[in-house]
Amino acid sequence: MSAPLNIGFLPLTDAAPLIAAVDFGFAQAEGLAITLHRDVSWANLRDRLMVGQYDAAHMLAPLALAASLGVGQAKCPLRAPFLLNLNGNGITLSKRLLEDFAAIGCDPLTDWMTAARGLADVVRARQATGASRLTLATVHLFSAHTYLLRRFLRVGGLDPDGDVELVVAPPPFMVDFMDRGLIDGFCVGSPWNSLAVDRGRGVLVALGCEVLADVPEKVLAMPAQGRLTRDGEGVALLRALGQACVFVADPANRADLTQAMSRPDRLDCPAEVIARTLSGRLALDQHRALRERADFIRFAGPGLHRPDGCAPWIVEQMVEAGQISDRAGTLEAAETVFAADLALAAGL
Amino acid sequence: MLGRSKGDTGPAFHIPRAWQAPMESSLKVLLVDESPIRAAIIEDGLREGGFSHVVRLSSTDMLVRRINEIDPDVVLIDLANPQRDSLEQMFQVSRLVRRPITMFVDESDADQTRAAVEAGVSAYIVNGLHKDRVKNIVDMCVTRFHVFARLAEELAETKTALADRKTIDRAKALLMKTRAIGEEEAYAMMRRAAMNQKARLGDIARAIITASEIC
Repeated sequence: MSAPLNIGFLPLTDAAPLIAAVDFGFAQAEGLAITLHRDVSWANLRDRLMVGQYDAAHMLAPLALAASLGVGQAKCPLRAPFLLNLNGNGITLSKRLLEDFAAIGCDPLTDWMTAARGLADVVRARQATGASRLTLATVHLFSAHTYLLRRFLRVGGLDPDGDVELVVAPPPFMVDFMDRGLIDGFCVGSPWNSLAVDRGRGVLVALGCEVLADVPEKVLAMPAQGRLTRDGEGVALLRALGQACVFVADPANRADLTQAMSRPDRLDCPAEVIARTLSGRLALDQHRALRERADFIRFAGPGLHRPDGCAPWIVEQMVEAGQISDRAGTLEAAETVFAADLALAAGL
Repeated sequence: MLGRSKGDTGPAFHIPRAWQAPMESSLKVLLVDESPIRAAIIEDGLREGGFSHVVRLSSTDMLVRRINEIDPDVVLIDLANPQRDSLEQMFQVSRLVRRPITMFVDESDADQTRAAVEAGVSAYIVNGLHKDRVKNIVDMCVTRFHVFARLAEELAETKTALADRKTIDRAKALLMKTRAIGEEEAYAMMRRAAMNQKARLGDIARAIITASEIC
């Protein structure tokens, strides 16, 4: 066995395939030794890939492209040969904002569309009284979270660039920022919505998969000129991850998996909360019924891991959000970043 | 010329001559660091280099809000801070609406980038400042991050040694009492056990104390 692969991740539910590959023997079965490194920011994962500290990393799919292009950051050519999952996000609004909803006679927990339209009415009402703009947070500029939140706002009839202020905050700080009145809502991944709901700080008004189905979420990213794109190890890693994803998606393994994921060096979060996000049965607030969606977060399915299909959607979102202007050039670059060759070689 | 402070301990804190140009004092440096001690060490280094406008922020502030008020020329942030993504978003937005921003980290500075990431620090240049001028700041940071890491390691070792010393004394007293032997003999006994078991003396001492508590 050669030197261990160093793989970085952030403590999120969709790190599950990486954790399962290591803790349940899928990597070992492919002759791979992996050391997982828990990190604190996407910027760190990107930089550590760039300087070679990590051989691969858990990465927001749009960020893999933005980093490769050097949009809004140092240029770091990456490949994203494996899509880890679809969906898994949610939009949470602060308890304080519920008073504004009550004032206009809207219950944002009715369904996501009602929440989107209600939020627009709340914003209009605030504009009429000269109140300050609402501030909504996502986890990264180049993320499905940003694009879903923008869509949610547009569906309600709001201009994401003018009617609200969009900021980026780290998920572990979201609830604190909400308590301090710095932000009024956020779009984050699992398990952070559930943790905010459990602590009674916010209400979950929309599941990502309701706002848009089958959104490409995280990829496995690797340096374009790294160890894994050069030889057979990359293909072996993708096979191991494919197996791990099947394991993650099977409810029969949930107790063992969530136990492993809850450890302090993994997600450091109660196993029950992780299990809830994996099962797609989400509590919307502390008192009321669950909302249930089998596709809340998807790790397995025919062709799911092939990354090439997500390129056009991501490029389109980047254009819509004003992050890039050269659509054709970006699409061409995206075809390289999200090339399917390794996935096909791995039989995915 | 800048004087060197009394506590300065030699070549590790060498200040490049290029820093000593008087114009450096006009630059505003924002330092975001989890560790107040390390932040103080870095700030000290910046001041020695002639950067008198240093603003320190702790990690729990909402950086996006504060950074516009502070309006820095250079931002230094430790990698343990989860707000790097927020910072980069702010830069991206400002790049579009306000003024040019360069990330220090890029391909042209591969070696220094690696050194900075390994030391645990990241730098951003806000005012389209010439990179060479900021290079010195980053070099100093990298050096001082390493110095801090070494100090932290030494402190941890000292703490362990101190704890071991107390434990060893207690175990020695226990042996002297239960076996009616002298101090030197008790100590020799523990050392022999440590050598035979390839264990640390402190661990043997802890085992003796634990055993006496059970028996």
